[in-house]
Amino acid sequence: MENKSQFLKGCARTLVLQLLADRPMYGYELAAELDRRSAGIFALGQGTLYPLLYSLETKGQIRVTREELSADQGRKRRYYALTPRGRTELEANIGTWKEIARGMRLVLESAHA
Amino acid sequence: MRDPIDRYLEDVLCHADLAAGDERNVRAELLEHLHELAASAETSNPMEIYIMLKDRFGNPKCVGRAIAAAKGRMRTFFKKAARKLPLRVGIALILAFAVRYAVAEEFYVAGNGVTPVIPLGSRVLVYKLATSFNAGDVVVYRIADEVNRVGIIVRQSSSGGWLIERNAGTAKECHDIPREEIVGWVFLNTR
Repeated sequence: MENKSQFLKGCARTLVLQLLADRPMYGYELAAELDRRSAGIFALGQGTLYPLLYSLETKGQIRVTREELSADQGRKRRYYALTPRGRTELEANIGTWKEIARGMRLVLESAHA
Repeated sequence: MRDPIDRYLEDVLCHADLAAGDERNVRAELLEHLHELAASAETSNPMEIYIMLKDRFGNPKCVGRAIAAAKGRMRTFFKKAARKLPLRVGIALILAFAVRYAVAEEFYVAGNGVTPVIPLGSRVLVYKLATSFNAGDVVVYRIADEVNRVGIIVRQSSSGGWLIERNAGTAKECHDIPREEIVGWVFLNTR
């Protein structure tokens, strides 16, 4: 379990970038979308999404493009979007992922063949 | 029991310990998320909602710490320090002026009044709270309000002031100066 959550965290960074590449989203929307599109595999503690967003924001890979005040006071939807630097990062990550997946598959399949 | 969402949010933020501006944004953003999350709950029992938030959103301590790390602990530290900076500079300035006014002041010696004890061109620091002087003490005193002079105490005069001696050309001159015209005792000089 510990093992799995560490594993998911590493991947979540790339998935967040991928989702934001389609359209700007706010936190809850992003968590729900991640959950839905990964068939529940990425229904990780939704709170861990925010440290991830803030660190991507600090690195300049995403930025807040729009803030929307809720009817309830004190609540705010902050929409995040990919920056050009984020897009470069995403492409590099996809490349890395494909390589790792291919390597994993080759080894695991030959072991269980 | 208090609103479970507020309680949960406070638990997260106390572990994050962010700078004021960051905290406002993070609070508003998480509040929105938690409300939407709680709206999907099938219960209205506050305790159950709190447990559900903990389960779905994560352990408040872990989330708070992770947010602090993502925002950068050093950056947070400097942001907080920068906020307090104007106040601290203000206090430092006020203290500096208060000390200068009441306790110690620095003067430039532009004459030969007490050569060779303190030569021309020295900078001296004067202690203003001295109540009494001994013979041989170097003091700064005022004449005609604005002109500061240095001299050496000879003894207390019968009027309660102090007899102060200084060089005048090759000779010496001596004045009886009331205490209120004596700025203070020179306790430090640069030469």
